[in-house]
Amino acid sequence: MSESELQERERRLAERERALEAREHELVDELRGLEERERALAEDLRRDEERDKHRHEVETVVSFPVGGRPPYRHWTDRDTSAGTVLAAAMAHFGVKDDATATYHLVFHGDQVDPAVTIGSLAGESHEVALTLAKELIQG
Amino acid sequence: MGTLETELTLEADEEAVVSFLDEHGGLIIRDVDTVGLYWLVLHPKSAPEETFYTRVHWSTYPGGPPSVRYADGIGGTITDPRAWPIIPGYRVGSFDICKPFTSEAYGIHPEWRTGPTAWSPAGNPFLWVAQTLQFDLNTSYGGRCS
Repeated sequence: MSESELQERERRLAERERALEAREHELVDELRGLEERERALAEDLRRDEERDKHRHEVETVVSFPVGGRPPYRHWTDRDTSAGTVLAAAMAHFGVKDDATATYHLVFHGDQVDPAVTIGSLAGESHEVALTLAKELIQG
Repeated sequence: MGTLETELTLEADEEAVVSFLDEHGGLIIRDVDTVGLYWLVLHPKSAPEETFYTRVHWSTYPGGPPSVRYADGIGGTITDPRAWPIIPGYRVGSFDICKPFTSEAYGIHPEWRTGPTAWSPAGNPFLWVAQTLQFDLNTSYGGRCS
């Protein structure tokens, strides 16, 4: 092999090496892209699962003006009865029915039947705001 | 509790009362001349065309219950039977509400001052009184006295 042929072969090998390096960079970038996509998909999946988890739940908030405590706040299954929420809210505020007063939930100004479900109060919404009312005896 | 403290605490709690009454089509008007005196304009849910003017006067807040009367208008007389709604415990004959959230009731029933009926200064008692008045109108309203 002549000197010029050797130089030409060397040049081609160098070119090929550069092309391989460039391809390697492309593949590394591609891999990073795929990894980022995988992370994004995993995050989407996690969010979907979170939405699914609360799809049948309602964020239930019960305030009590004279409770002296922050409102009762809980993710509640749509099938949960208002009576169950009432009991939980009363426990949260540390009150109970006695001979002088009874407690019930109020929604949009109306007393809530303990048998109705939270889902029926919330409708399409994912949250429902209730008030704990203390009904007083009269003299 | 001094007048200034009553005034400042009422001011702090007033906003929640304004929001609550607004949601129920009501109004609150503060008397600028008398500390602790408010007029609540309320409507029963079943008869929104009816308007009731409630005079709520806190002599001390939040440490004591307010005087609650119905008047024939804002600043009007509190001795007009037609200003009163028919609700159990609302005694038009003596122009008072005999339930343990008014100063009149605690005057009639001193035994209510202790135990579970005792006045509670916790939280926002002004909002609780407003909610109680509105709730009574919504659930126990039997018409207007004549």
